[in-house]
Amino acid sequence: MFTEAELKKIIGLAKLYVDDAELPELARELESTVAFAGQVAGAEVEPAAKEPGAPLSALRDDVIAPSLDRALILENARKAENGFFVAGGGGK
Amino acid sequence: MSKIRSLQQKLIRGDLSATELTQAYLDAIARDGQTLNAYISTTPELALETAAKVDAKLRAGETLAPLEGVPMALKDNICTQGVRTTCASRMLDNYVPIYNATVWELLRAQNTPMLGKCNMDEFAMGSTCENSYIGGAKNPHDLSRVAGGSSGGSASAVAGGLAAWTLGSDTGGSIRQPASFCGLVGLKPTYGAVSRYGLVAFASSLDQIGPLATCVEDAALVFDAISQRDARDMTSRGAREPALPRLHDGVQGKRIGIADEFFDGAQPDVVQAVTAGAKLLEAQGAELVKVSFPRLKYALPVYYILACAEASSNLSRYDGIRYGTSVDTANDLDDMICRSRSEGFGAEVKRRILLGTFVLSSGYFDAYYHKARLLKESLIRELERDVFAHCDMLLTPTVPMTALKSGQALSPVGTYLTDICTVSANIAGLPALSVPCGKDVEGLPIGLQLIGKHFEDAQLLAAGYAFETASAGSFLTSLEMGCRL
Repeated sequence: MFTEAELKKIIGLAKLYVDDAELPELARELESTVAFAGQVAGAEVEPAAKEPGAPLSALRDDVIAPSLDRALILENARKAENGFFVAGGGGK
Repeated sequence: MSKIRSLQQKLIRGDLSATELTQAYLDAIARDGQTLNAYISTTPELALETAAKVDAKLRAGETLAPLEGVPMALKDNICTQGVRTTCASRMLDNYVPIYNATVWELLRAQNTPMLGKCNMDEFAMGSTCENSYIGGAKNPHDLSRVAGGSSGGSASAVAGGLAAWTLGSDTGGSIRQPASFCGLVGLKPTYGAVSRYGLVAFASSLDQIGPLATCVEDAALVFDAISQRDARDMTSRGAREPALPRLHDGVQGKRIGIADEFFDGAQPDVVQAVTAGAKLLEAQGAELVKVSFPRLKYALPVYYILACAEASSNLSRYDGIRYGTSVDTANDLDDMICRSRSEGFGAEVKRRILLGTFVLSSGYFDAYYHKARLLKESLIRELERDVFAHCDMLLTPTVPMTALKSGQALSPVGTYLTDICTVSANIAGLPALSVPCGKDVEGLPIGLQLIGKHFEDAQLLAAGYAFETASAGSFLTSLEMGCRL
């Protein structure tokens, strides 16, 4: 059972806002999905599974290649200035 | 017969031009697109411009590439330079990529007219397509039912005759499940066979791009076109071999594994149709082998822990600064980020981000995420030792049921359970193919799934082709109902 404080901590870590009125329903949903995920607790792990597996990546030499165009990248920015993203709400 | 080949033959014979063919599909979209809700954006100018290039080549007597001139569409999480790519999310409503996904680069090089970008569950999270910010795509077999998810728009478009074939993405069954619901062929290639560069990430260790088509040969044609090693995706290796030359290999002498665990709880007519499909393959010379996969019961929880953990990390990039939805007013940077994300993401995406954040958080990491990682390795080892040591491929239902009614209220966990037969292939990185194998009592398509060994995509497609040929295409229900061209 999630306490309100635990739930708010997770919401904060996820960088989200949730209205207080929605918290009980969210707690119920999250408890149900966490209980579902919690089935892994009783599962037996094969000893060999603890050994590191083969790497997913096909390693290759680093090669310097042209980057994407800065002006193009900034086209999707909320706000840009002097070739940089402008971050922050600024109390507007 | 291959729809792609048949349409291209018409172009080569001069029965119609590439422009006329593309326009016919655009007309079909104008007529039925709203009903099926299969597209988020259409790109008629781009499609007709490409078609004109094909017509010029035909006039010059040049040979066409295998997919050239045949109109198709992409799932809206595949980046297309200059064309809006929304992931069916308010968060990316106005996002226009500045680069192309590798798969789209490869297809563009073949002059494939792109008709548009297909509807999907938001950020590919869902099994019904109803998590899309524009509403779900409809199932052309029964408009009161979902097309499946997350690549629901890609399936609806092909089944409804609004594209000859499409690309989807599959993280836990998102190509195969809608293919099954809509009576299509859907392939999730081996992890690493197809580049993920330019695919908007959901869960990077599980995501893979693949085709939805009306027949196995078309899926093989598309697989061969997109399965190349790509230096821009460090997990990309390309295909071991092209699929088309092996398409007629058949299943003589192949051992096909059947594990009861995949049939537990499935709809009776699904069990019946898939079992009949296995018998049909046996009649073609395959040997049916009983195998066991007891850890299947842990596949879904493992999948949801790992997928949500990766999603919470991948989706942290949406901060409202560099791209995506951003609020106009905020007190400070943190407030702006939280408000932008809260306004931009839908309910299911938030739910999965929260679950992912929880399993990665201090105090819970070992019990959930780390345990799931170890169980993933255990699942893979059990599949290798107890399943694939005894057979060449595994045969299962694609989904335990047929298409759900739109708006049928399932709990989040209830919805997750529809992925029980598909997630194992993603967890283990194995290739998996869904082919139509029958209909339920209401006439809705049923899909049969074949799961192969790593990089045995060609063998898998050959088995699918053998099944399709033996069944004389009688289950290719999409051909009955709308693929007019």
